[in-house]
Amino acid sequence: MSDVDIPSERDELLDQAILAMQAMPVPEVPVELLESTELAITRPTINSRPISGSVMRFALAASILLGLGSIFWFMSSQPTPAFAAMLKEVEAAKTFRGKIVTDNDSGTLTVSGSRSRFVSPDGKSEVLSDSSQGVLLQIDHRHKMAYHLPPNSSIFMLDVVGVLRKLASSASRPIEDYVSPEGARYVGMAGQSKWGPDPRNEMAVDIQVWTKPGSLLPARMTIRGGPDQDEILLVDEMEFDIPLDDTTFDLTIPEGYRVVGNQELKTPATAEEASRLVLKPGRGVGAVKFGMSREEIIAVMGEPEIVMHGIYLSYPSVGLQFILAGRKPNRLGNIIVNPSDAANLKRHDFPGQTEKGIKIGSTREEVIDAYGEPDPPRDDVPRHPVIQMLHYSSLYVTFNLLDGKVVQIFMNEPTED
Amino acid sequence: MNDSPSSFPNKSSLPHLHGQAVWGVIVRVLGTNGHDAADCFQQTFLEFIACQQKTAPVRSPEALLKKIATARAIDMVRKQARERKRTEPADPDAVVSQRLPRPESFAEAEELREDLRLALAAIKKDQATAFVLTAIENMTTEEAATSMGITVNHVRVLLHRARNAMQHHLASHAPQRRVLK
Repeated sequence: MSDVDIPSERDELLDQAILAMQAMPVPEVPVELLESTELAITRPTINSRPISGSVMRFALAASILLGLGSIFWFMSSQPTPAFAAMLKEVEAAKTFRGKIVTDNDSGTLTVSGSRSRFVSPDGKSEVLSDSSQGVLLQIDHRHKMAYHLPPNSSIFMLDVVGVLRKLASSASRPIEDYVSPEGARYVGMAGQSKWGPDPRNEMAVDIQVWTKPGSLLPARMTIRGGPDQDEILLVDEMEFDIPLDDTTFDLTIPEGYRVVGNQELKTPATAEEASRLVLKPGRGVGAVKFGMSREEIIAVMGEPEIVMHGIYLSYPSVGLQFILAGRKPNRLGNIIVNPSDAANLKRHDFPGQTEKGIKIGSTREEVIDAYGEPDPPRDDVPRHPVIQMLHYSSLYVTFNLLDGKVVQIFMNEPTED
Repeated sequence: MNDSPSSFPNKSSLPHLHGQAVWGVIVRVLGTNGHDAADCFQQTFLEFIACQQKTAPVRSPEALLKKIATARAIDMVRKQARERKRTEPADPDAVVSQRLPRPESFAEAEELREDLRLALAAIKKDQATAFVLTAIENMTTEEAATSMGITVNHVRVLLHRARNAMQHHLASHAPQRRVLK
């Protein structure tokens, strides 16, 4: 036994290490990381981690919901013979059901014509869609909430149909049969394609499809990062032409549920009202200043249209949200222009502009002309695959751009007076 | 399944309300590797949202976030340790000699922390999680039990085993510490 290997010294060594770890100075969490995380968890369709977690799950579900409405899974102008045969069978099908499984979760997707339904395994959460009516409804039975998702949600959705179209033009290769737990054997083939949460951020993937013996219809499909990579998602127990009735796709929201996303907005701000909504990075918007209390904000803006969890004061009619999470408790710490959370699924665009003339719809060039070059991207902050963030740490403001135009502005309370 | 923008209306407040606490856990357990830490940070919040979908609302979101952050950071430390094993020289003396004490107290503290991280990577994950939550993050055993979804007695058992295993690990893997004394 070594001289350190006696209980008291071992205790001391461990305690020293614990003290050292407890005393470790921890830097402030980077603002960009906070913001990209906030975006990732509030805008599930624009996740910065394309294959992880619930963000991808929802995007996947919704994209399939939207895409499978017409049951054109494997459309391709130049399909390979194997995939072409499968395509023909799938196109002829009227209904579909399958289990979607990702690394963390799963659900059952049912499709009939333009109507789709995706249900979690416990039945506590579901998404209903009717593309012919432009309806996309999420119902959270656990919290008795129903959310009307905006019709343009699809711009952020994963385009699984697009991926499968690309697959159809890929060469196919035979792969090992899949044997189900019940002992049924399925014949597999695979192709290579590109896939990602957004068409602008795709990665090479390997897609494997298995068919029932004697059938050309797919029964199981996986998407992997490569032939030997882990599975990113699985569509299992695929069935076609199953009998379904209308109740499967009933869009009625159960009584007593709080409905979000279909509230009536006030009329858009007049030019005069908009002219008072001047964004002043580091200070506030109009007469609302960082550090204000709820009462002070209400005195300026009027009663919030929606309050969520006590600290989110939302004014969707003017595209503004005030978060009472400042340096002092219950004081204004964050302003989000054109927020995208639950309370603001339906809103008008923010009608004002910054004191240097930047508004929703301004271009990247206009932002840079006004505020100079943004902070350089940090290596330790994951890049967002869709949203381009122009962060000005000295001004405590971030402009989020989509397709080169400002779609959202975050302003934070300065860390020091 | 889906985790729409709207399932958890308060989720956009989470990073602002609990980000620093989560960041603290991750940085302490993982060190200052920016990429891995940022990755862990985002995964923590995404996993928290996913957990919320499956379970009743938690009484202390921060405790659960810390538990998730701890588990993810330990995963990362274990991965780093595996990678290090793969690339380090086979002769353990060679490794030790590279890590012989430096005079600076900062370096000494950092070496202690690094030894502790390696020890965390070496013991069972639930033991490591219980240890970090209580010994490093100063949670009570009751809080740790709640966030881990286990009983207080189970936490105590895990802690006892964790301490023993880590003491042995530190003693056998940090011989240079004797030189420091």
